[in-house]
Amino acid sequence: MGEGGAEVQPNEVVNLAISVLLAPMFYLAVTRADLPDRSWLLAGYAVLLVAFVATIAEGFLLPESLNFVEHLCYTVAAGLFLRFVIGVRRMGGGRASA
Amino acid sequence: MNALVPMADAVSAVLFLAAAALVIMARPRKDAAIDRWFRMFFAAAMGLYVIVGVSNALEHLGISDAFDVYEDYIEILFVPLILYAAHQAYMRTGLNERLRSYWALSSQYDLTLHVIDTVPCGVVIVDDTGRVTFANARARDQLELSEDPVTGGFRPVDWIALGADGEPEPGVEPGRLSAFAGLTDAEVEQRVRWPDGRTVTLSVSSTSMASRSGGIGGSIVAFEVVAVGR
Repeated sequence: MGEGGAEVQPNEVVNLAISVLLAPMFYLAVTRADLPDRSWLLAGYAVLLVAFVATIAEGFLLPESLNFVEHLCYTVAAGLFLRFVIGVRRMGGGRASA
Repeated sequence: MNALVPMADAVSAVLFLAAAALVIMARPRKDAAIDRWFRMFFAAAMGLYVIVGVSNALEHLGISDAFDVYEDYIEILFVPLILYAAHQAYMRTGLNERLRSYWALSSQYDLTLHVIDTVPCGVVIVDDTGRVTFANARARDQLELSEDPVTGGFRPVDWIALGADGEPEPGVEPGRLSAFAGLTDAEVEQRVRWPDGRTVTLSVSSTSMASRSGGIGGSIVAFEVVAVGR
């Protein structure tokens, strides 16, 4: 790692690996749970995955652009998670009415 | 373009903080998938990225990179935490469905009991030895059965079922309708006699119940009193 100018931090690789490996479990848990507006939650996770890929890719190409993409993804993901939480509060924590 | 990075970090920190605060303050319904554990783990996950956002903003603004070394570890914790929150919601959903099924079954059971208690004939359930394990209100009245709150069964009664010849069959204990224990779909008459000589003739319709092993596991016996004598 780091040869030829490319700089990849091990923790970034581990983070991406964990995120990708656990993504199916996350998807199954979210889609099977009675969660309101869950597409926002899934979208937030997906955008974070893009950020994790970008932070590794910036060690190889377009460092400035991909760094910006990474941080922009954090912001977008935060907005998506916030939107999910707003949906949770609005619908009382579940899709089915009592 | 990099000038925008600290701004993006600051905005993300604020948004993650808002998400964490709102989920903590949420008061979901009791039957919702969002329970206390979900809110705790979800807020913790959001809180981690508040720290990441602040750390990144301070670093890119050139103020401090002291948190940078911790940020690497913090990011790795995010996915397990949010996965646990999602899994908790999934488990809570399953638990809620089971509770709803239980209450639906329980109310159906209560309704069935009320219906059986309302019918104008006696209804008893006997096990494979002829022991009465259930009796509706009419049967309790006519066969003088009373529930024993200690055992959950019925207190011993002293009437005895008579055979076709009018005499107790050998080995039959009082209070048992042994003739129906293994009988399948019968419509017969059954006499029972109390120690004081009083006799009651019952017109009985019975149907057998299957046991877990597939054999006969007792019967449902419905009856009407057709004659009372000595």
